[in-house]
Amino acid sequence: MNERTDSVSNPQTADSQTYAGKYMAFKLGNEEYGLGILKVRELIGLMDITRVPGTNEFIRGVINLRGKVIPVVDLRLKFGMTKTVDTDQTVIIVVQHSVGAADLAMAILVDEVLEVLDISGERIDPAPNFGSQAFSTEFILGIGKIDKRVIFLLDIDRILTA
Amino acid sequence: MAEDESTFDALLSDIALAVFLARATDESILAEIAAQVRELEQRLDASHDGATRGLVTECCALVADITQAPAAARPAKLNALGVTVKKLQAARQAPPEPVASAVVVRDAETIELINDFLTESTEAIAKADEILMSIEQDGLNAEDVNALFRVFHTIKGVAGFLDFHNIIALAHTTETLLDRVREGRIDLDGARLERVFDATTMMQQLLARVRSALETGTEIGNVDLSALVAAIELALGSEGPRPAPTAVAAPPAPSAALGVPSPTPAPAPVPAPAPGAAAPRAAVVAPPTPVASKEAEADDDEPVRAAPRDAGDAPALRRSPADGAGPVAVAPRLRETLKVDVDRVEKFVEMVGELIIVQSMVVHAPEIASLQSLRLQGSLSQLSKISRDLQDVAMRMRMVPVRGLFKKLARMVRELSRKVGKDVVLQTSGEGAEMDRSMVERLEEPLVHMIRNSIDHGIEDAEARAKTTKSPSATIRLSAYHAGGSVVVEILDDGKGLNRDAIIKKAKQNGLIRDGDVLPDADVYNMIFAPGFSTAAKITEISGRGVGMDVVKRNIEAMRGRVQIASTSSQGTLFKIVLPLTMAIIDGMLVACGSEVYILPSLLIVESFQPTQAMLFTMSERDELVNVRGELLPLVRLSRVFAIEGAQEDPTQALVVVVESLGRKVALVVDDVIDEQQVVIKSLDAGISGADYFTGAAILSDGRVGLILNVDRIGSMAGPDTQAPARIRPILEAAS
Repeated sequence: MNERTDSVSNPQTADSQTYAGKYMAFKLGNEEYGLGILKVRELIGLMDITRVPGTNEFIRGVINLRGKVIPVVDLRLKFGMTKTVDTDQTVIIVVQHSVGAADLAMAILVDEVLEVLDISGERIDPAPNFGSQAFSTEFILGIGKIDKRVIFLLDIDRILTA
Repeated sequence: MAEDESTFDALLSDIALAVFLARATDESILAEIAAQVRELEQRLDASHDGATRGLVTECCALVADITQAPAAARPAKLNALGVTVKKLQAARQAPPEPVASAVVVRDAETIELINDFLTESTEAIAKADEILMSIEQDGLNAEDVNALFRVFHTIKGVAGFLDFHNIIALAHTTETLLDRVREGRIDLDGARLERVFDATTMMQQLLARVRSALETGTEIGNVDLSALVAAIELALGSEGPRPAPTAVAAPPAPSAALGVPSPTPAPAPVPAPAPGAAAPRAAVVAPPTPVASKEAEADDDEPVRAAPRDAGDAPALRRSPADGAGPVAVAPRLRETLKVDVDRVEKFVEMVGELIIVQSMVVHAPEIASLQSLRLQGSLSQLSKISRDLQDVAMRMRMVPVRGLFKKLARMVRELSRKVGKDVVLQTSGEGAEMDRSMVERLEEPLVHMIRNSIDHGIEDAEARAKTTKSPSATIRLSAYHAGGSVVVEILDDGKGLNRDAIIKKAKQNGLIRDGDVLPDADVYNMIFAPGFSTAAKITEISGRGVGMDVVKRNIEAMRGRVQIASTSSQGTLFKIVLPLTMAIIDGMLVACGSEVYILPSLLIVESFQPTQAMLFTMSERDELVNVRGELLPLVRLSRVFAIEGAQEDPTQALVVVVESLGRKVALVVDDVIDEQQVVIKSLDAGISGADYFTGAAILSDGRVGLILNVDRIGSMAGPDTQAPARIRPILEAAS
């Protein structure tokens, strides 16, 4: 009967084992990021994005995904990087964004999608503390290390809610 | 002592839940239950009455029995334990006292009202349960508390004029608790949250009682809520509860009163608020989907229904009219409506809309036009016609006259005015005006709130009114009419008007404005829509907590409508609600600016033209005006508002589209008008904040997303001082 209170776990202190699993790796500039595969609905090539004036800068606009209007977040701008320059590698990832109990389709714009990685728990380091100026840690579940690569595993729900 | 009692009750609820969830084969759970029952036994002291002690002892015996019984016999024994635990809970919450019976005479109109009330309140309570669960899981936020508060507030309001004392009492107490939470004076922590859960469960039971009384044509009777009300008031903390309305003091009834008080002699002991804590908790364990929680509750009913059966041939809690005898024969027949899920109807209309778009794409495709087949052309025009008819039907399916709603409100005014002792007459006009069905439904709550406010605060009491020149009988005028692309609903009372000074004073207290702020009337009046804003000196059963008006605004805005207030001191107040005809499809004019395309609702467009240099004026080299046949309109360049690159900079080379919003005209400068088409409105809010330049989005025929311009918002870009043109006009006229 106490499971209600126990079920609220803190991502900062939880065992890195919690985050083991399959991730879709993608690039923003030279950096590599990972997105839990269950969060990914589909990948689509760059398409017409309708700008929505008056909204946050990191909202690139909205797209028509089979009749549904879905917002597209420029992840580079969201992370305080420079705006995404569209190339033929640019990909729109449609993600399943959970808001409370509801699921919402949202899309993120990334420079390039790499591959799906299976990352085991011992290869995941907890999110480091970059100090006070860093916003990054709260968006990061952990850091995956594969060979010499470093992959930041994103807490996409937090990113899209923030 | 009181703390011991609530621990005792909490333990009891825990046991009830554990028993409800336990599988007979699970030794560890059984052991846990056994331990809890033993603890319960230890907590027994002299303060408990004989019945409680007897039942606790019975529980102990049953638990011991279960652990020793063979596996096959366990489920039945577990069920028996469940029944006993519920009896125990019932015994603790309902001290036996004689039944009070009030014979309620109900005419067909009242029955209809009650029926609506039941449907709406049941839904609202289900929603409240959902919110409570999300609070339990994700913690508290102000929005949730407000929403919860509104549920109880609305129920209280409607129950108020239907005279359901139990429901009013429970709603009032719960509302007081939530109000404290809202004001930040107390936390909605574990125990208090539990009490709100209890309140929703009890409310469901009360509503079910009313329903069954209505179906069988019997009187509703009273339920003793004092235990629950006391528990909630205890949870309120030391501040001392606000006096609850009379209903708590109303003659209490024994637990048996929960069953339908029927002429059957010797009413059997139906456990009263038994499933109290268990139902919502069970639902928390289950996934929080409505289906799952419904199942949990349905399961939870089992032991309840089992109880009267054990007790003999008592009336079943939910007897269907078919197998009932006696009272059923005289029971009035309830209006049966098929309530179709709004989402489903909306989906249908939306798909019809999309069909129209595709149909138009196909018919106008150049490839098809080049085929020059008469037969094909004939089929295509047939297709067009059928599509349009289909759309017409789809739209009309949703349109209903506001008559029903107005009738209901007239009835409410009658009851309410009697209650507050003011002579108020409701005059209605335009009952035939049609609007979207879902909008009529959604309009009810705001109108109820506004009218209630008018009667309670707007209209003077007889004494004050006698001092004025007004007729002693006050009038509220409720009218509906179509205007342009909108439906307008107005409420006009001849009361004392809004007290501007009191609003400003309260707004300063609430930190909404600062000393020295100078505000136009409209802005001042709009402050009454802020959550928790009330200038009422006292809180009555009817209104005064300042909740109503934020509900009003929220509901109306959710329908893409808006509400305006006009008020004259000692003359009265006018609320004007402007709503779109439908919420699904609009005729849109596609306008281009730079490389971007936007949609303007056609109904808001007055005219469009290419201006000449002589028509253009500037003020302080910045604000631009255009002279349209002597009428000076503020010029708004879409390219500047939206920072569009590559748009036409010279207005004489561009196009001016005059749009009307909120009764004022604005000249919008765009590059070109492309086309007019019907568009299916899609919501933009999901995942995007700050998109208030737009009322929605739509898929254009080329597959791109087009944004629908919010003309009100863009109109306000012309600056707050739209009176300027009027002041300049005489100068211009003098010059010409």
